[in-house]
Order: sequence, then C-alpha cells, then structure tokens
Amino acid sequence: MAASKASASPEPATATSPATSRPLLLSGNEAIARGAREAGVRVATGYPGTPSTEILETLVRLDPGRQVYVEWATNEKVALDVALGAAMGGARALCAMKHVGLNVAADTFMTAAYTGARAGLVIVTADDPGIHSSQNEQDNRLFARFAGVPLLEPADSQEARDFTVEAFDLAERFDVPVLIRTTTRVSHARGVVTPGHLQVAPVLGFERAPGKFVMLPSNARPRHRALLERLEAMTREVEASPLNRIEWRDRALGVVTSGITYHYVREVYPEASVLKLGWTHPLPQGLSREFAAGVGRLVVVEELEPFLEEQLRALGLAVEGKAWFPRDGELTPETVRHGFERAGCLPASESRPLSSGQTATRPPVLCPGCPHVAPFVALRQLGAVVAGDIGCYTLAATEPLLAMDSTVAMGSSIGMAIGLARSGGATGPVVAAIGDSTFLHAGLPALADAAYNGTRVTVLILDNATTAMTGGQAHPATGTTIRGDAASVVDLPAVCRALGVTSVRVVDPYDLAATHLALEQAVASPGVSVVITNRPCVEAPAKVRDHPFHVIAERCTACQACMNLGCPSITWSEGWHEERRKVLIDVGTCTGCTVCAQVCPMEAMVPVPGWSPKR
Amino acid sequence: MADLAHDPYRLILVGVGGQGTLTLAQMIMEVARRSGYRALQSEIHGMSQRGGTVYAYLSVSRGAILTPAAMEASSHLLIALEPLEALRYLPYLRSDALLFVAREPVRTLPDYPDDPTLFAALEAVPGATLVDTPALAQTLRLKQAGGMALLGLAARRLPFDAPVWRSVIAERFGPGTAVTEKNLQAFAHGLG
Repeated sequence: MAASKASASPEPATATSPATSRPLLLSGNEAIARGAREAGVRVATGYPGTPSTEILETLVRLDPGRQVYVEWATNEKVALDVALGAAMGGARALCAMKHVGLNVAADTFMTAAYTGARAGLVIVTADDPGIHSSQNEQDNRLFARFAGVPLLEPADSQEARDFTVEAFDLAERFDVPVLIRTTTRVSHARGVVTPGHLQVAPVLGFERAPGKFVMLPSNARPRHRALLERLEAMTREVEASPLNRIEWRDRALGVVTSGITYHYVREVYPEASVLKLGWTHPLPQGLSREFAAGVGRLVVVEELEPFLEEQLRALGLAVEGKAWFPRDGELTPETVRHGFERAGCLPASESRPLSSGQTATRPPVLCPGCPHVAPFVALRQLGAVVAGDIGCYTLAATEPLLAMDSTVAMGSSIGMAIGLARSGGATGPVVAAIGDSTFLHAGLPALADAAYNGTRVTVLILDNATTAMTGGQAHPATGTTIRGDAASVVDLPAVCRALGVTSVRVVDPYDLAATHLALEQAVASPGVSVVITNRPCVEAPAKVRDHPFHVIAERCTACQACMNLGCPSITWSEGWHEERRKVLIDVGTCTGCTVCAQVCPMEAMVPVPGWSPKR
Repeated sequence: MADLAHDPYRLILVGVGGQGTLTLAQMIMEVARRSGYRALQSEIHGMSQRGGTVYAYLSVSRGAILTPAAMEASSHLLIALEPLEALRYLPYLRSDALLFVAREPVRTLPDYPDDPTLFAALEAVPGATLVDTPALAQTLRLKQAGGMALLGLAARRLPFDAPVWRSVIAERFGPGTAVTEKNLQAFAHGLG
C-alpha cells in the first residue's frame, strides 16, 4: 500500500471535530469524502452516477452535525455552478460526478478554469473503464488538459483521502479548480486508510472581482493568459510534488503509470523501476526525463487513452505504451502481464486456472414488480419506435421486452424522438421513454422544444419517484433532500402543461389495460403528448412488498405469456404441458404487482392464500 | 493465533444481485481489520446489481496488498451464494482452492442448466463443498441463513477468532436481536 505522502494540508483556523487517527476501512469514494471533510469542505454538490454516487452520500453520513451543505443537484452542470458559486463566496467546495457527467458540466468547467475561485474548488470525475454501468468509457484525464487544470489520480483509498486534502490546497494556491480522476476500481475498492482530523474551514467571504468572474470578452482574454501563466507556475511546482515519485529497482525497464494501474504493474512486474505519477497534469517533465535517462527501456502502462504516452513522446522521449497495452476496456493484472509479455519484457506465463467451459451469462434484469415493465409491453404492442434514456428502464432494450431503439445520453430520448419524427422514416408512432430524475436532469429543454416546434411525439415519463439505477437517490420531484429533509415537489404534469403540452395523462403502470389505453390515445393525438406513470420503485426509498401471487399448476398451459415480462420472480417449474415447461412464482420475491396475472389467459396466477403483511 | 494459509490470502464472493454477497464481504473485511490484518476489497455495483452477477474480491495479508482486482488462477477460497455463479468464477481459482457453494439455483436464465448437470459439474471440482442452504434457511426460518453458514465454513480456514466474527455479525444485525441470534446460529452451523 502506498505511503501517505500528500497530507500536507494547511491547518484551517477552526477545528471543530474530535481527532481520530484510528485506521478506517474505506472505499475510494468514502475516502474522498473523508479527505474533503479533513480539508474543511463547506459545500458539496453532485448528481448521482455510478461509480461516483457514494461520495456525497458519505459526506452526509460523516456530518450529522450538518456543518457541510450537501445537495443532489438537478444535473452536473447545476452542481458545478453551485460549487463554483460557493467557492466564489469563499467556501471550500467539492463537486462529484461520473465521467459523462463532466460532459454536462463542461460548459461551466471550461470557463471556471479561467475564473478560478476564491476558496478551493475540487471536482471529482469517477471514470468507468470497462463500462460496468455507463454508456461509454471516455477518459476524462483529457478534460484536464483541455481546460488547463491540475489533474490528480489516486491509486487506492489512502491516496484518495490524501490527494483530496492536497487538491483543496492546490486549488487555492493556484486559484484554479482541481480535477481528481478516479476509476471504478479505485472508487469501489475498500482498503485501510489512516485518516487525519476533520475540519471546518473558515469562509473567506465574497469580494467583488468582476475582472475575474465576469467573462465578457474583454475580461476573458486576460483571464486566458492568466490561466496559461498559472499552468507555467504549476509546471514548476509539480516537479517537486510528493504526489509523484520514482521507485528505482531494476533499471532495464522503467514503467510510467498512474492510478490503479500502478498496483497492477507492481503485482505482475515487481522488479521493474516505476515512475508513479499522482499529479499527471501538468506532467512533471524534468522528473520524467530523469526517469527515462535512468532506464534502458521506457514503457507507459495506462488505462484507455495514451494520455501520458503522448505527452512523454512530445518531450522527445522514446516511449512505448499502446503498442502493447489495449486502448479500450479496463486493464486487469492479466492484460498488464500479457502486455509485458508481448513487449518481450516478461516470459509467457503458464497459469493453470481451475477452469470450466463457458457459463451462461446472467445479464441484469428489472426487479420483480418493477413499474417500468407494463409500459414497454404496451409500447411493443403499439409498434412504437422508442427513443430511450439512461436508467433502470434502459433494460427494456434487452430480452425479453425488446422495446427500446436508442439510448445515448441523459435526456437524449426526447430530442432524438423529435428527430425521428421529423425524419419521416419512423415505422410507427415515435415515443421517448425517460425516467423522472433524467427528465428533470436534461429532459425539460427538449420537451419545451417538442411543444414549441409542434412535433408529434409522445413522451413517456416513467416516474418511480426516485433515482433508481444508482440506488435510490432523492431528486426535485421526490419531496426529500439528500439529508432526508422535506422539500418542495416538482409537479410533473403541471410542468409539462406549463411547457406547452396540452395532452398530459397520468396512469397506473400496474394496470396493464389502462397503461395501454393511455399510450394508445397519446400516440393518436396530434402534436406532443405526455404519459406519466405513477408507481414508486419497489426497492427505494421504501421496499414495496404487497400480497404475493403463486401459480395454480393445473391451470398453467405453459403459454409463456408471463415469461415475456422478464420478471425474475417467474421461473420455470419442473412441470410440463405439451412438451413446454410450466412456470412457477417465487413467493419469497414476488411483490404482488399483479401484472403477470393480468397477462395470464388461464387465470393461473392468484394471490397466495392466507398471506398477511409483516408487522 | 494461527496464520493465513497463504499470504496474501485471496477470496472471491459471488452471487446474484440482492443475495447479500457484498454484505458477507464487508463482514470478512471488518473481521480482518479488527484482527490486525490488512485487507482490500474490490467490487462492482451499479447496473449489475439489478439481478445480474455480483462479486467481491478480497485480499487479506499481514503485509502489503497490491491489487484490488481478481486475477486468473489466484484465489484460494470461493464463497458462492449461487451455483452457476460458482462455475463462472472457476478461472479465478487456484487448482488447490476451496469452494463453498450454496445449493440454491437462481433460474432467471432461459439456458440455465438443470440441477443434475449443474451439481455434477460442481461436484467434479476438487475442493468444492455444496451446502443445502434452502434446508438450512427453512430450519432456521432465516432467508440468508445459507450465506451465513458458508461464511462459517470459510471462517474455519481463516485465522480470525470466533468472538471477533460473532461481534461483527452482531453489530451488523443489531446486538441482542432475534435476527442476530439466527444469523449466529447459521454461522455456527458452518463453523462447526
């Protein structure tokens, strides 16, 4: 485990929390939250997104005394605006999001590099190499270069804590936002962290500085020059930073690496010398040259883009990297070893795993009782062309529902539906399917567009009253804040009407016939129409467990109509009917949504007799 | 206190979303930490939690642990809350690995193998122990009893003292509660 070298934080004026130095077991995300508290963060914002979500949730948990203002923002751009404003007001601010969230926040991000702030502003981007739970695997290290801001890449939980503390200090010393980039493996790995003291930093207070914060062309031009000067100063500072270090071992091979990949390199090639980079933009040029001069062969091991490799090559160094290591996907110790083998640095390995043949894949599925199922059954029956969006309901694209034709980015469903409708090429009614949180995140401008331009599309808002995919976070239509306090509630039907939609229907998605009828009427109406479903998620914020159903085996004719719902509670039984398997309901997981009973032509699904709710 | 059979000792916990795989992993981590070991856990959540494959990979060591990622043919012990998931992770196990597998198929796949094929494939793996977890769950009237029994079986191979296990389990489910008592019984069933 890496030593903690980067804990040289300024001692804030007011220390209010008890000291603790007992080692803690923390995930990378929890360690970032911990580091932010130790740095005296006052305002923390974000939008839920795997693998970043636990950062803000941990901040709330760490702060029962409410010394930090924490909010789920409507989207990442709003989150960054709030954080920038807080820093402008003199409060240390943290803004956390997943990699694609920074695309949304990029408008503010690119110019915040010009303005800088007053108190430290730290932005965390949690990247997802391997696309465990995302729509792409973009490498956000490039954003740091693009904007011209410092970039820190922790390799484990200890560094996640240490680097976060350091980031606030850097942000204030250079008057620039600092980008911390983690990856899924860092954010979701849990390890021992030696913490420092929790602090509440003083608020520096707002000071008028229009030349710095009002980015009119006449102010923005000198601020761009000022940014380049700050980058020059950082280029000198980074040379001596303890966040970067050379580990001299065998000099035949020198490996340059950052983030989680450092640990993979150490695991598979413990003899190699390593330039371990934690502060990777601007790159420590002198340190890199010193390292290159001291080794026989220079190899970069990094996930995704050749970010370090290209910068080292630009220094005139003979460097190898993506020639041996993949540019796509998540690196693993195996792929790193195979890369070294291809490069001729390591002999071909002979691993003898306890292997087996291929195993049937188990794709993610919608939960038993998920209110998203019935609307997609109806959309398929209507032959709709469905532009989808980001959320649990994206699984409607997969077997057995097969009722979604596109998923690109947050809120894209509505704009793409407008385009599909205007293309003249759609083969059926055009429907946008979008969740409540996603609708508020990026759907509102697109719905205004549809209404304004009078495009004939139907927008299906799957309102399950939570941000389900990321584990059930609150949003502006849930009535609660991240701390569980009561909040105002966005009235979704009223918002749609206010945007100019005249045809708005609200329907119970557990009522299959009513859902079908509402969608049928909506697609038949001229102009833009909206259908809103109104059943809460069965998992969050409260578990919904109603009277479960079971199958009367004698009635089941193995027609498989219920199987086409994809409900995980419905499985194959041992019984047969005309060479087809009958079905079985797992009473332990059935939530009693009744949708399967509505599709069963034999009335084989009935409530379990004698059931009574717990407590 | 006995020491680890290997250092680092690597474990994989696998299951299907919702079975409590990550809860078991976190308890092992906490027991290791309290027993003075370094421990590292890597897991994947997000979309995979919606009924998909869930795994946690753990490393326990007296000294440094380098990699929070599963490597082929590297793990010493596997706990599987679902038998097909046990088969899926075989490539990550050493040839002398121990496997504790719940006899509790989650058949949400159209091409899920039938019981005899599945269990025969697992019984053919040296070091595998299949546990009749549904029976245990019924006896104790506790849904997650199987997982706790598998944890007890694994605990036999780990150098941590039983009182530490018991206190971590109790804290997890609420000290003094009936649920804790059942979980402790299930754990003891595995620990023997």
